[in-house]
Amino acid sequence: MGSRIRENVKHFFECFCEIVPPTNDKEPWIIQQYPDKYKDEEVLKSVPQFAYPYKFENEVIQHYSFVLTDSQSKWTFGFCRHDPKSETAIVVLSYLPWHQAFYKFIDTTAVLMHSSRTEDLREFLYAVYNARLAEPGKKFVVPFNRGESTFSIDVPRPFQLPSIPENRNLTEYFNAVDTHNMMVIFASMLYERRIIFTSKKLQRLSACVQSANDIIYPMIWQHIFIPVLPMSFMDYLFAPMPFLIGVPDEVLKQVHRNEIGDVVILDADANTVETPFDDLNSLPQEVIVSLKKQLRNKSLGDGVSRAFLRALVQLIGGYRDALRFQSGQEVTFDSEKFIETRPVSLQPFLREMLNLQTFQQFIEERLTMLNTGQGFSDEFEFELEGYCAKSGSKLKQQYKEWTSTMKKEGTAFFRSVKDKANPAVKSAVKTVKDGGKGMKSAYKGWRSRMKDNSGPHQLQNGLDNGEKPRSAPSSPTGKRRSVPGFSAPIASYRKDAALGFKNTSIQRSYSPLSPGSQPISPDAFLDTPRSGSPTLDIPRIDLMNEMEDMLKLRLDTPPVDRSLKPVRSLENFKNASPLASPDRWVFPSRIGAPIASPPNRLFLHTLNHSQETQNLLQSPDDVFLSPPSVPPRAPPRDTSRDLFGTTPFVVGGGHSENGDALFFVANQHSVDIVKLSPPTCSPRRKQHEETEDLIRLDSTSDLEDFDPLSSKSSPSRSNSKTSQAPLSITNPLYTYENHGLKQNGRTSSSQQWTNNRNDQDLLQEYGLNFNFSSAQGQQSFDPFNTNKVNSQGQWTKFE
Amino acid sequence: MDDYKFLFKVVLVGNAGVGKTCLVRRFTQGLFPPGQGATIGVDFMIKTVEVGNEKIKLQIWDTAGQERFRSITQSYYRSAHALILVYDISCQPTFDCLPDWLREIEEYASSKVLRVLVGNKIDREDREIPAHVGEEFAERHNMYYLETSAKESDNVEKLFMQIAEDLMKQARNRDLPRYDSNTQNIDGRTSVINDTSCCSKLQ
Repeated sequence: MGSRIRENVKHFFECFCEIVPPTNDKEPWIIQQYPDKYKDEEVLKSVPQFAYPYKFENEVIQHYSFVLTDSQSKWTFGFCRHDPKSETAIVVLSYLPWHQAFYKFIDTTAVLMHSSRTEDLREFLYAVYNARLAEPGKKFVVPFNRGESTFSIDVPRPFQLPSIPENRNLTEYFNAVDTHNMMVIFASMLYERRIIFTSKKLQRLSACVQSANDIIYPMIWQHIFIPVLPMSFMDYLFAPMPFLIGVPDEVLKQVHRNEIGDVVILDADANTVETPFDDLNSLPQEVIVSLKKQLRNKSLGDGVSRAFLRALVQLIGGYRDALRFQSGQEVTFDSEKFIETRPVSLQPFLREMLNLQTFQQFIEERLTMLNTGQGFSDEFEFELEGYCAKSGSKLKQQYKEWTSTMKKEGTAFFRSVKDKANPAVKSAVKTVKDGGKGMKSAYKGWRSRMKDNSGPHQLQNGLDNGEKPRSAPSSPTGKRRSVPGFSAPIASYRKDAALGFKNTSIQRSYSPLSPGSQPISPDAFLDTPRSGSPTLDIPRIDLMNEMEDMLKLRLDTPPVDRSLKPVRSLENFKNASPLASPDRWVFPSRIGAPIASPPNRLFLHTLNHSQETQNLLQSPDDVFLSPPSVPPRAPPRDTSRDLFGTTPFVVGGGHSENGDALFFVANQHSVDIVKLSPPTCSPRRKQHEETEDLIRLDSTSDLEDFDPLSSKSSPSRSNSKTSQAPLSITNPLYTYENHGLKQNGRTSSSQQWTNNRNDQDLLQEYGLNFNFSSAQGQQSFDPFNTNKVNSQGQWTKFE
Repeated sequence: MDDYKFLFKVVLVGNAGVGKTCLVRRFTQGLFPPGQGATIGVDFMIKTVEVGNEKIKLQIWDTAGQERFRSITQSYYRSAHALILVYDISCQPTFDCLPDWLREIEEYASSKVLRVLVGNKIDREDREIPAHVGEEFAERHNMYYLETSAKESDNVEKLFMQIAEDLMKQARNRDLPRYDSNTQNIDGRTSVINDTSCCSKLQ
């Protein structure tokens, strides 16, 4: 199999390490680890190198991931957290590529490290390490702190396309690199070039490298893959074989370009690609044209991922026609037939493609899937079916026949291979099979609409977002991206609070429904007339929610000292001067001065938005398969839960210049945001790390333009409508971090409970769980004591 | 940066278990870098040698770990200067696979790439492939031939020194293989070899 992800993973993480930074005469080293039975010397030796790939000053909390490859070419992921307030770095090693979940996890460990009870961290690690992993799509919940706190993450489903903004990596990549350059990298990867990504920021670097690999799904990069290259590993840049390496700017400076040879270099800070090749134009024209078109229209949700997936469907989907079914034998692939059955225009490229390692591994993987009875079950195959429906059905018939023969004749064979299959995959197959009809019909409905109107992804985004109440409303990133269907249960309460809060200041002229009113980015955001449609309510409400999010940020974000930043990044679009026009953080400026936001990006967004809206308007009933009746959230009455009541001042006062301070204050004023948004790791995290950038949000210049109240939709109506937002809940493919879905059936009290849980999660994520710490004696909780190291008898200590 | 005149990349291929890694380790004596391959998945060794008063940096890349591929495709050979094809003289199947390896090399690697056939493990007493058979095979395919013992360190030094000298000769004649033929920037390629000299001083 071509997969480089390990199967049958038993533990959520393999090893937790705390790492001391290098000094002048000493290499970085591991000061403590858990569990101490983890003894892979090679790995333990190199982890400190990856945690401190070069000597750097850390000004903001930074998360990034690195990858270690073992001799079987399987990957181990390292998730790393640097905190300017802490002298050490935290690294968690895992076989699971669940970035969002692990960033949440290491944040929790960071909080516990500074807990007054020194046992807390170890107990937490013990609990998580020994907890049984949940099935894909389910929640992995681990109680800790003697049952008073809960660590909870959603186990990602296999075959889930990364979507924006939920997927941190892709969001970062998309914001740093424009779609043309993404295409150049995509093409370079198809040609298996030697590829370097570089950035001054480790976070951006690792995110971009990871995403670049995600984007060639269903293929997997088979060569050297190093998302973050430590200085001491520099010589890998001279490797004669293909590689995809993230090279920190500091490291790349030490290398002589001409020694590296022919290499493609993407500078993720400058959004530039240098390449000696013409790979993009060497791809079949028709593929490029349609890819460009798709990327132009789609950016939210999994639009970007799907655009690239479709390009690959166009290129290699024809593998199906080259499959050979012979009863009693394994399915095989006929490469000549593969070429012959393709359009002439594709043939030259495909002939080359046959020689690519990634393609060969792809074919092997597909054959394994077929031969183990998993059939055509992943996202690639779904997409492929839309592409060539007819041959698909014929093929399925063939496969069915083949399978039944195999079952009759070779039961033992079949069972044995099946047993070897990845349980995750198996359960995914099961889900697909069981979830069966509902999902299929949802998918079908979605697909047919896709054909009808040209903006399927927008619709789908709506669905997506609707199902992902976790997309963080308090994060500007999330906000910027989260458009229609933005999680119903959340919205309903927040709306009330928000309206109450802003009532006076923003009542005047904003009417989101009138085509002329442009609440957020006058030219970019709301330029499509929506009035006249009978089903206006859905989009309207989404807009309302989004607007409120923005307003909230504007109102609640206190000014914070901001440092000068390179211009393009996730962070930067938030880094506006107070005078900045609001659309600047609606869409990040891509090149050069922030004000010079490229108009077409903005325009793009506009299109998306309006199309999304239209799609939603046109959504036939089958999208709303079962309008989930989400109980409206009651405002939090339990004041003991109001963790921001007094404490934020303590913390905020001490750290007014770094991210945390801003966070506290912001939350102090907008408890409602926090309360209402089930925590997600990704976008919220951004806020956390980049808090200093948030200042630009305190701009109040355009407040007059916003007036959610003057919209025709009354809040109560909004509530009822937004509660329908979690749409295609019957489609398991789009239920990544699915809360609303599962909560639909519950009573409002259980909902509330969940919310509180979520709030707690969130607070812990930010190291703000005062509730939790007070349980252990608040006096001794000292957020400033960052140097504290837990001393545990059972920890492995190194001197 | 190290002070060296040329940087050459050498790739070892051959079946699993023929002793590729041992060969490299023996030559470089495992000095540098210390086993990063365990965390990167691909191992390499570096040794700086001197040929005619010129310092040459040899980077030797071990394909261990790539054996999971049914076959190694073009991309793997793209920018190597020399290929060492290794078999085990005490193991017939590793010799029988040579034509397969060669087919790939011929298909993908530049015709100018230096090729060396190495019969390893001559310390073994159960030799299955007589030296002359290997030699004939090498001649037929226009390769250098050498028998080595990584264990006893026989001919290991000689093997790599020979390669360094030959590549150096080629480099002097500007006759090194060019890869990625669609590259416009040919100078970029040759400069890897010729301008490497003490870049730090030149720039």
